Amino acid sequence: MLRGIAALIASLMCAYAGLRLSARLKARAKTLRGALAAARSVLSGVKHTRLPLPALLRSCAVETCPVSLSLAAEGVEAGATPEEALHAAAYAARPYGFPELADGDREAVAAFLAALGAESRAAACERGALAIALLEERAREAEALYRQKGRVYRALGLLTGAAVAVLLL
Amino acid sequence: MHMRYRYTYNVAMNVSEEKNRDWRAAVLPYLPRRAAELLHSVRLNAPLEEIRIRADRPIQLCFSGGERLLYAADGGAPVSAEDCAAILRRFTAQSLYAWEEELRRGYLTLPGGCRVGLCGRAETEDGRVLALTDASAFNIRIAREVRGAAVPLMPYLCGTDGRMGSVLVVSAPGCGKTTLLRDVARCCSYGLAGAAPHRVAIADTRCELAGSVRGVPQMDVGPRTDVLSGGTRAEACRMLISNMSPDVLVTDELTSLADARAVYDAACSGVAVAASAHASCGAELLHRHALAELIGARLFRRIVLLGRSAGAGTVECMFDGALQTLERRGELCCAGSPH
Repeated sequence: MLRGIAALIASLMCAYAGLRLSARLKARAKTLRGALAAARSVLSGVKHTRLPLPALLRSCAVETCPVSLSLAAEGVEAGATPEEALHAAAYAARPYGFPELADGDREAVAAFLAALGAESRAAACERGALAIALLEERAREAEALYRQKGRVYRALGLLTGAAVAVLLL
Repeated sequence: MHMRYRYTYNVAMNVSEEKNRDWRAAVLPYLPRRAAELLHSVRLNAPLEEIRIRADRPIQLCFSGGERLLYAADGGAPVSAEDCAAILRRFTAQSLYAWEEELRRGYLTLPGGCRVGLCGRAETEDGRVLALTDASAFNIRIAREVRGAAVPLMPYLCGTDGRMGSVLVVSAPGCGKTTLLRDVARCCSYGLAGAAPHRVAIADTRCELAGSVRGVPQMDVGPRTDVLSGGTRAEACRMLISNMSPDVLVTDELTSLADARAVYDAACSGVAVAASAHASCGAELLHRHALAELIGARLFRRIVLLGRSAGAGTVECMFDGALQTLERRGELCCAGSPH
């Protein structure tokens, strides 16, 4: 009886680990796609309107964006830099920020935010476009990784769980 | 006895501390903590006209007829070069791209109408300023709405039927041209002080006349007033005349030939123009080609010269359209019929 419960718990844990790894890859791709959509929207606003950043962020609050841009806009209004404001908004949305993001992803987002502080519209657009290209690359890479490894992780988790259960029984 | 508008009366009545609260709310949130605390604690005996902030220098406060330098508690400068960069970022809400055109021209306007002049390093190409970088000095001109400032003048600007005639307000910088024009617009719009109610259009290229924030005027410019903020003056005047069919067109600081031409076109379209220009006497106007043409065409019914002989906003002299002196200092107050 005790062995049966242990086997069940072990197999569930292995399956959970596999699913968790797969979900993390999916979340990374989704977060980057959301950030990309918001960045494109903000850059379009920079190009075609004269809205100051707080108003622009509010108007670009797309549903897929992982961070509340309205909250970030409040931060900018209070005197924070775009990086600081978005960082605070990210941690307000999720207590641990976005752990699924890799360091390179964060750098790409930071590069886009830094572009917004450029001293001219042309420079902001140029640097923003470069940062968006980088974000696109990261998002594509994340999606490919999820396609390649997501299913493997899920299958591995389930199979390992089953194997452990068989061994314990 | 000088004819002055209320702006100057405040000095005499020594109610400046109460009046100065407004600038604190409008300006201090943008300044670094040390400078803001310093300015917050300072007690003023006269209405503040300008705050001049320079990197690694004391803050200079300019009043009507005086000035004061403010040092940090340790005797040093309250604002560093880094602080200046931070101030500019706050003035622009971290959005330098949105203020590119204004920064290129060396100014920006805060919500509420305070205009900030900037100094720094001008990046040029083919003799044209591309951008102003490394901001190191700011001149914050405190916007003050003085309701009633134009009331004593209105009978001289309007005909017996209450129709407004064209007027040019001239003075050296900082003598109250914008304040007076704003109240002229308000009086025309409400139909006050002998003026019939008019449809008024303001070409507010520097967002200073109406203090617009995202297109909405923050100052009282009257119920029949339309404001077009930003753009070039000439283009704004043309758009307003074509689209808003005003009776009175108000615009600030005519400088270029294009401005003069737009004003000329407006006046020839049956629209009364209230405009301002920089000059410290009537003769100086004639040295400026654009304005000389307008005066030569007798475009203005009245030309009002402001000065500071009895404080900012003193009407020093009034001319007719041919630049002939009508009234000198103080005589306006006692004059019988203005017409």
